[in-house]
Amino acid sequence: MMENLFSFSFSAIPVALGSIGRFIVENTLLCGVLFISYGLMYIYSFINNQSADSEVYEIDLLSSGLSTIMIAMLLIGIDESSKGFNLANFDISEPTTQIALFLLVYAFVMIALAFIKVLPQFLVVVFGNSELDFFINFTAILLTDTSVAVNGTMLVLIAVPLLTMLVVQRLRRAMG
Amino acid sequence: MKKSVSKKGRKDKIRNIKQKNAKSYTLRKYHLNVISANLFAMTLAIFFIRSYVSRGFSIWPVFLGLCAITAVFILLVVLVLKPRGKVKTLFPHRNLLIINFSISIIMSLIYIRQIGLLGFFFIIIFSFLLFDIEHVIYDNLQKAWADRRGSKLKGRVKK
Repeated sequence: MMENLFSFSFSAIPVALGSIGRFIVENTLLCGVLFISYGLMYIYSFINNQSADSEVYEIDLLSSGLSTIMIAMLLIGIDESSKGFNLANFDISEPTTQIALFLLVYAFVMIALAFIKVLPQFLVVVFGNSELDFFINFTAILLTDTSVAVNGTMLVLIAVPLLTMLVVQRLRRAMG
Repeated sequence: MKKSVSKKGRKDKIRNIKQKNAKSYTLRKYHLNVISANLFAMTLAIFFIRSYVSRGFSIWPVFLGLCAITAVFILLVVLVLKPRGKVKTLFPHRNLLIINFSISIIMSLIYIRQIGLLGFFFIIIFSFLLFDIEHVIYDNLQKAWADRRGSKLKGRVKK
C-alpha cells in the first residue's frame, strides 16, 4: 500500500517506525539476509577504505542499474487488475506502477551513464553507492506488503541512517 | 649447475603456485558483489513471489519471461565472449556457484509452502541470473574498462 511519498510529518514518525519494526519482525529471516547482503559490502569498504577496489566506479552504476531494472519489472505488475500480467491491464495511474516506470527510466539512465562515463566522480559515488541500492530494494520490498503504508515519513526514516552510514564511510575514506 | 637451475626453477614454480593460491583465496569486492547480489536477488524474489501468490496472481507469465531473459542473457554473453576465447568465464568459480546455489536452495525450501514449486524454481533462476550478471560485469567488463583506462594512461605518458 502506498500513501503520499512527498509528505513528511514528525508526528507520523512513531507510526512509521512501528510499521517498519513490525515488518522486520514478521520477516526476520528475509530482512536479516537483506541486511547481511548490504552489511557485507559496507564492512568490506569500511575495512579496506584505502584499496582501489572499494571505491565506487562506473561499474557500480551499471550493477545497480541492472538490479533496479529487475526490481522495476517485479514491481510493475503488482497492482495489475487481471492478475495475469497482461500488458493491456497495466494501470499507469496506480502509484506502484508509476514508481516502477520511474525506476525503469532511472535504471536505463544509470546504465547509459555508466557506459558514456560523463558523470563526475562525486555523482558516480552518489548514484552508484550500495546505500542507494539498498534504499531502493528495501522500499520495493515494503511495497509488496499490503499492511505497510509507505509514505514520505517512512522513506525519510529509511534514508537518514543509510545517508549517515554513507557519509561516515566517505569521511573515513577521505581521512584515511 | 643443472641441479642448481632445476632447484631454482622448482622453487619459482612453488612460489608461483603459492601466489596463485593466495590470490584465488583473497576476498575481493568481486566475491562480495557476487554473494551479496545472490542474497539480495533471492530475498527480493521470495518477497515478490510471496506477494504474487497471496494476491492470487499466476506466476507462469513472470516465470516464462524470466526464463526468456536468462536465455537471451546467456546467448548474448556467449556471443560476446566466444570470439575472445573467454566462454569459460561465463559463470563464476565453482566454489562461488556452490555457495550461492546452496543458499538459494535452502532459503527457497524454507518458504516453499508460501511460494510453491514454480516459485521455488523462479527464485533459483532469478538469483542465478542476477549473480551471474554481477559476475560477468565485474569479471569481464571491469577488466576491459581497466585495460582501456591503463592504455589511455600509457598514451598520455608517451606524449
